[in-house]
Amino acid sequence: MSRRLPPQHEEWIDRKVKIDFWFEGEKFSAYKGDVISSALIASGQKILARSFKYHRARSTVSMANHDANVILETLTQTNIRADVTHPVEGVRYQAVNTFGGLKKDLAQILNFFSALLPVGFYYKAFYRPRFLFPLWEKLIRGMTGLGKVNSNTGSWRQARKQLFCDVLVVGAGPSGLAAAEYLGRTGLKIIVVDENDHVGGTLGYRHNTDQSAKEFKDTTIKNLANFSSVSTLPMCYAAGLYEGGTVPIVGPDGIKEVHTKALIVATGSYEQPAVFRNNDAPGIILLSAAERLMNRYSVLPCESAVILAGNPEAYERAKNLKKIGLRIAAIIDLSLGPKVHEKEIADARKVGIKVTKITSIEEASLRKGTLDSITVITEHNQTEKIPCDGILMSVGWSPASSLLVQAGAKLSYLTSLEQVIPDEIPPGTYAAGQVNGIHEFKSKIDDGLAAANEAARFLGCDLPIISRPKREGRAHSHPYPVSAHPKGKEFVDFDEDIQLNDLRTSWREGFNSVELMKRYSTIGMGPSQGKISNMNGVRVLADLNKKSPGAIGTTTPRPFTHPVAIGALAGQRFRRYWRTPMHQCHQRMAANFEENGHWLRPMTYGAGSIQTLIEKEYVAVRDAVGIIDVSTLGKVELFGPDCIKLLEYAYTCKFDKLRTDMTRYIFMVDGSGVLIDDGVAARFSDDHFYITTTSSNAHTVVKQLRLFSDLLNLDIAIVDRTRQIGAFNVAGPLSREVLSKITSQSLSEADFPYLAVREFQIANVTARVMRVGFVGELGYEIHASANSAQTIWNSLMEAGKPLGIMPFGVETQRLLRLEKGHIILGQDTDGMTTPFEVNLGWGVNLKKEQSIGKNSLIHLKRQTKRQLVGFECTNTKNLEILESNLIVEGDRILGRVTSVGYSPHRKGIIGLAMIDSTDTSTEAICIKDSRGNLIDAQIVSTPFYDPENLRQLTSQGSDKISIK
Amino acid sequence: MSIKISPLLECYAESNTKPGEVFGMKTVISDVLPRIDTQDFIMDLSPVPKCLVVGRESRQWITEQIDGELGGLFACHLQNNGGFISEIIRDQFLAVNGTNEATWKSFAEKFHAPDSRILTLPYDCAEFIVGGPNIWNLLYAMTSFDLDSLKPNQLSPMRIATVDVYVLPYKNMLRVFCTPADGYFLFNTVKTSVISGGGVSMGFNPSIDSLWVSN
Repeated sequence: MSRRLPPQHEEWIDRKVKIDFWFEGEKFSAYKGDVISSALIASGQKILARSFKYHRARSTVSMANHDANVILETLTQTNIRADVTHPVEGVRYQAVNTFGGLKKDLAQILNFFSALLPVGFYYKAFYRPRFLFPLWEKLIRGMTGLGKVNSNTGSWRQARKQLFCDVLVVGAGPSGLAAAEYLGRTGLKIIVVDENDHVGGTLGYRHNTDQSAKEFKDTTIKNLANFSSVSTLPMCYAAGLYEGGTVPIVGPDGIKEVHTKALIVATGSYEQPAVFRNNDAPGIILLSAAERLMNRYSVLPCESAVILAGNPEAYERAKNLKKIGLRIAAIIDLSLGPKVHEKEIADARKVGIKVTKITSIEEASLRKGTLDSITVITEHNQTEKIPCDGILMSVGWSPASSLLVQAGAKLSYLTSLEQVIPDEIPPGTYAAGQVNGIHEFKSKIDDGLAAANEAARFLGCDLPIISRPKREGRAHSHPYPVSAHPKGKEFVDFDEDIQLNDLRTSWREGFNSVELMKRYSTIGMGPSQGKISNMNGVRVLADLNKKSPGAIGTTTPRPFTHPVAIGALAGQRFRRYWRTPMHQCHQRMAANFEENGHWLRPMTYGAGSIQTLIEKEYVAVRDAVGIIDVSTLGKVELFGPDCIKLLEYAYTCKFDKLRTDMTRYIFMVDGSGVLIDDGVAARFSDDHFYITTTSSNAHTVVKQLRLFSDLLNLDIAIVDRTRQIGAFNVAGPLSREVLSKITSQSLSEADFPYLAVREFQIANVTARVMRVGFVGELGYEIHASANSAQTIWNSLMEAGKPLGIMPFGVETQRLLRLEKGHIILGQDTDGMTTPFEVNLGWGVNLKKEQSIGKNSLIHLKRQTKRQLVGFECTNTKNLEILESNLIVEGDRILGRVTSVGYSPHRKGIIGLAMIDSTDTSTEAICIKDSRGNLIDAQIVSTPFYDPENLRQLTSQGSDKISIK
Repeated sequence: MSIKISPLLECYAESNTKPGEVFGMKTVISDVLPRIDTQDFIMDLSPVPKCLVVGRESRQWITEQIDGELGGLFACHLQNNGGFISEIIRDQFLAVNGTNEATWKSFAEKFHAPDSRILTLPYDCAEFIVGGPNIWNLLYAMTSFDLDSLKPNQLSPMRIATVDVYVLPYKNMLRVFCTPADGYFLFNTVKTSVISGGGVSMGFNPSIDSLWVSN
């Protein structure tokens, strides 16, 4: 049986386009523009859902996003709000939270046991006998939740966009549109958002019979379209207000973060339900839901309606719906007092509508789970039963004021309106229209204009003041639309199936403030977030406490105003990474990359076990020549007359004796004398230096240098060139031979001694070359512009091919430097390590006039508490010593391993350990490995390899290393 | 053989480009210019020579080399060859050549002549230009910077897709400068967005500066 009305003037549906979909295994038809609920109701479907706890039959209540009665799922999606979602061709929808389908939901039986499941029942039952609790827990968990997530569908993300404006207008009803048009004329940049498919708000379904309202809507929308500085975003809602005026707007294509200088909140209000027995039955809806159904979707909500009136506007609205086809059995008026709504009642009776004044509602009666009649107690204390299949409630409003409260506004209860209104709104935020307690149409427009005027003047526009309209003196909300019944089932919160008695129980048990009652009863904590339950909850609590609702207060609304999908929150993923200039070369050589901070670095090259790869690369470096990409090092150019002053302040050593075209090892401490970075400094002239830093600290060191320069007022330019220069280290006994093939620069000991720096052409590329190394072999560290570095690398590889050149990665470098006893900051040091603890005391000059950490270093030199020592284990069978394994003596912890590895040169395990300095006289230590075994190790002096440094200085030295 | 390679070279696989060398840098070339009023595009401009002039006397030194006065921080002084000079940090000036190779020699001679008052450093970066009718909308998905506040003839430091960049706007176009290390990631991210919006990825065309000169 179709409930579809003839075409309505403001209908949103396109009757030329049909969409077929499935609901609970049955096929339904919709028009384009329908939402799922409207299409189902149009087809005569009465029951659309089951409630959360008692699995009672439910249908729509608000036909907006104000209730969460009808939540559906498909195979690939869940949390589909049927009231605001368009059906998709061919998709199969089903109701969530059923066991056996909507019609035959097995869990309906819980309704009969509701007395055993009051609010907080899980605090009081099911925990004795204790052994049964896991069973109850599993059972209850299995019953809870709304919908299932299909993890096979794959994740989705929506890009987040940024938008900027002068004024954001939230809500495009009468006051929002008036505000936007006014602001459009000022030339300010305006964004208007509205959660509905079309703008207009109540202009489309409540004021649509008013000719002046129609003209206003058409003219305003046309004008807005002509303003280039105004953009309108329908189908988007404001999810919250964050610091700095950021409002995330959530729409079908994701989140747009709007950064606004002023905000106008014209979000209207949520119509509130009445509370009476069986008020949750299908067919019992808000009057605004009926207005939306009939005007937007041309669907009759029911065959015969009873209008429950608690405010004056119910009458006009009822008459408007009667005009377009609603059959009204009666208007029952819950208002108190004989003269209330006198004129409205007379007008209604004139057009043939029966009006009965009542004192309370006894119950809504059901037949086969749907509404059959309503029984009331009249003002004459008589019981009257009115047959109907629809009850349309117009008993009051609660402002949609979340954004205002998040802006810092307070909510005050106005007794004359019997409604909460926003108060003490901070400057820059403005309320307009029904959210501000303005109900009359013309006043809504005036309020919108006034709000826009205030916003424009706040932003500096010179405009005459527009005064705010006065609020009406009559109430638009019933002060207590609650009728209790001895048998209960008067629902205050539909999401959580919370009945009137549950709130009374909460109050009796001492949860008698609005915050406590919320948390104990969970009112307002369901998916609709209390939009149509919180206000009634406050009224009930006020009644129980014998106070006014204003004295009770409200809970604090926080973002989000509606639930937001996690895919929208996640946004587009920007996972930044840095590639060295030689990245392509590494890829060609089958590098095994890992992320080191943002950098992608080769750990090893080729296929095979990591140990095999390391051994191969190790032999290449020790016996022939290897090349490693060290582009990740920090690189800083210093230019100016105060270079030495800055360096001597920032680093521990002296620089005045560093000769031009030479380098030295440098390290930096913080104010407490703790090591924070190390590197190499090269001197080109008195006022030109070039320094390197560790990869992870490049940014920090540059910042520190700039800070020191400013503090000391130095004449120096500091240029961070870290990511503009490529660098690599060519190391091994044949490194000189390889390099000499592609450069005309003399590389002899005399012309290019150890620690020298030179600038010359390599493969026709200008490069800086430092004769330094980390791995204990003759080596050259080459720095060249990033866009040219690959040319040098390729040339070296070509030149070195006959000599067995091989790239080596970070893993091999770790081993090579370990043999040489070189420390890695952050691995062999921690947040408390001083230079004296790691044998770097030689690099600390305490005679300088000033340097960072000097005073601490003076003190620390005398009180070194720990020492970094080298150790060796010759018995390597089944050993698994790892970094951070403890050094122990009985129950005492003496220190920890900082670096460890198998040394092909020593044919055993070597490592570095930080131990209490009082114990350095010992020759042996005991390591507790990861499996708990105690392993003896000898303390040995470092370096483990080439202690006389012959390999690095002269490329002479020990015989080739052999690897077993 | 080119000794310089564009850091964005790897990002190209388009059929409307061909390999080539510009300003001594290996890159890809396009013969056509983009139609900026009707189609979004992205183009590698990394070959355009740039250098950094550093030192307390750098402002004075540069003023001696050019006609006219330099502006404040980030203000771009336009050069006759289509390039510009801008102070990006106190006493550090970025000098960018025009896109026409014919002007390169004089640029190099001017800015690489030795002078003890200043230090001239090569400024290797990844540079590209994006443009088209939809480009601001695309970029708003990658930055929280108010693009409306960008001013013509002014470099602006900002972040796009978490990468630190300098940008220079022209009508419907944006030149983007970032480090070579960031170039591959950033270019690919923006390019993906441009192409999924119906735009094109183009190779270098030396006449590109006619677009912003005319704008």
